[in-house]
Amino acid sequence: MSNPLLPHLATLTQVKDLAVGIKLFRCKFNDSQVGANFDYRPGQFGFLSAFGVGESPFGLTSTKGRLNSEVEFAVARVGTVTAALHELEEGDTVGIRGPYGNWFPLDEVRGKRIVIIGGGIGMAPLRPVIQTIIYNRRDYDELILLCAARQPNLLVFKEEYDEWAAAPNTRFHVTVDVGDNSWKGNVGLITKLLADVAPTPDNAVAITCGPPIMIKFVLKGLKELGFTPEQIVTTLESKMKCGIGKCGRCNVGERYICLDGPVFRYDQILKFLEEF
Amino acid sequence: MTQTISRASLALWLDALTRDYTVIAPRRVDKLVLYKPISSAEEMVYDFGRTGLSAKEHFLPMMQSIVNIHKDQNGLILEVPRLGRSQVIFGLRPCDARALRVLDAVMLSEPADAYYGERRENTVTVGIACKEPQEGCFCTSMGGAPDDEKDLDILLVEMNDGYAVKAVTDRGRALLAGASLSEADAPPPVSKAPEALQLPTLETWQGRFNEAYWARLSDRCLGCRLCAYVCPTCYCFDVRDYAENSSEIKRLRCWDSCQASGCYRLAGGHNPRPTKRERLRQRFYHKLVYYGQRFQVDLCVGCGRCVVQCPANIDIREIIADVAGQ
Repeated sequence: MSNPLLPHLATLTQVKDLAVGIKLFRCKFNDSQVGANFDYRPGQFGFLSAFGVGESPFGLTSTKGRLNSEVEFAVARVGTVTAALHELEEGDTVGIRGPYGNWFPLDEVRGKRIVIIGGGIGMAPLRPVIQTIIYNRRDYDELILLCAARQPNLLVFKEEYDEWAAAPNTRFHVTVDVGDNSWKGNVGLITKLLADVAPTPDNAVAITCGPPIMIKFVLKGLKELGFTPEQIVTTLESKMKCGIGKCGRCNVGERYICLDGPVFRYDQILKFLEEF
Repeated sequence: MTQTISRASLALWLDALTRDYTVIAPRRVDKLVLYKPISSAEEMVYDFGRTGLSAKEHFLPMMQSIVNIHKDQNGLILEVPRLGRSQVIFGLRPCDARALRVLDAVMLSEPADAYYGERRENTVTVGIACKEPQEGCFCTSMGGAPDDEKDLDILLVEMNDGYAVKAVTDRGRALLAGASLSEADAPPPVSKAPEALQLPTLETWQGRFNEAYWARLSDRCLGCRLCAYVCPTCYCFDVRDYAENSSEIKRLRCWDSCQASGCYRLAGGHNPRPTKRERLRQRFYHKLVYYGQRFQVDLCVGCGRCVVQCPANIDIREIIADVAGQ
């Protein structure tokens, strides 16, 4: 019997600061065959182990095929495991299991206008969505990108902004809740930016990821713009100990975020008895 | 004709089994009777009613290392601990055997849990039918019966000076090869079954989700988690790394409970079930609504352990009746 809870060993080939308290970890599987077989799509997640401290789930933030068989995770330092991961350096060993969960429906939304709304570390699973759309630019209609963070030094993937903004048929906007002396861009909540940009819901799909409170108000804002629940795709996050439907942490009703999510259409979430 | 085994032959058979298997049977541990390994039939308790804990721990241990991690100059080596000897669980009650079928639904659905799967594959179950219900028993409400054989490899029914023996599976028949059996004319006595409760419909459950009832009920709950630990079907687990020293790490999987305050709390603070109200409600909806929606079987076998052991007298049978009633 194969053992899905046994991690694969991997070596950190790059560790870099993405923002204050957020690091990007590029990992190369020690067994190259494992790396070649690690097939994943935008929105899927994996468990990253800091051996001796524990393991936690993180969205895969790289795009399959772009980094040979290396994978990337963006990790915000918020708890015990993430603090231990942040102590690691290039050359150190981590464990990886996955990929788990479903993915953003990028095949199904071909030909549509795509509105991507990401807040804080919520940009991590959206980055492969953006990359996939940009690398297959003709398959999709207009791309509207709205990125946000609480403050400028919490914005992630800033190095890639120019590439995203320069993509054909793309509108790119960034906002921060609170600016600083050097910040010249938009200041205000992402809901304000969303209302200002006011993307039309015609032939559009909105994809959003961020902290639960942000998602809640973004959903409201999209509704006000005329988006139906069927046109909105979001993610749910949950504590998880296994990623394979066994540990009992991520069930919402009869659904498991790890197996049936983390990506859900808003109309699916509306059917849940409780707010997650 | 009924196949039978005398108490004396049973003891000889059990003693013989201890040579090849870890034999687990009801044994006295201080003031409790628990399913624990025995080295001879003398240690076994025959008249035990209901054990304090189910036999769950022999499939999902209270704490087990799922990965042993060795660190040295050359790097890391990961090793998965394996089950040593095959197990025979003797004296399992039909409700506790049914709990294994219930757990199989989640644990063996793909991707299957390798640790549970290994123990399931390497365990033979020998059940003893209940003569009469204990306080709190309601197996018949949850699809079981006091003499239900279908989730066991062998079923024994107490009679006169021994037991009626029925091999239910090929594995059970093979295990019985070494037993000295007799035959009797009389059928085994019929078990007395507890009265069945009327279960609420799915619509009733869904309609009552937001009622103040759950807050009132949770006022009584101490959050002690005992219900989950004594439950034969509660399977939620926690995983943590434990560093014994700088070179030996164990990744430990432990029993957990939805009643623990931090069970659903994410790093960063978000908690979708922040109070006892949401967590206690989750317990009963998971058991009696969601699990059935997903796996077509409820996450409860009516063993009654939580009923008699809850220090706040929270009684799942009362909740079923309250939700079903007007």
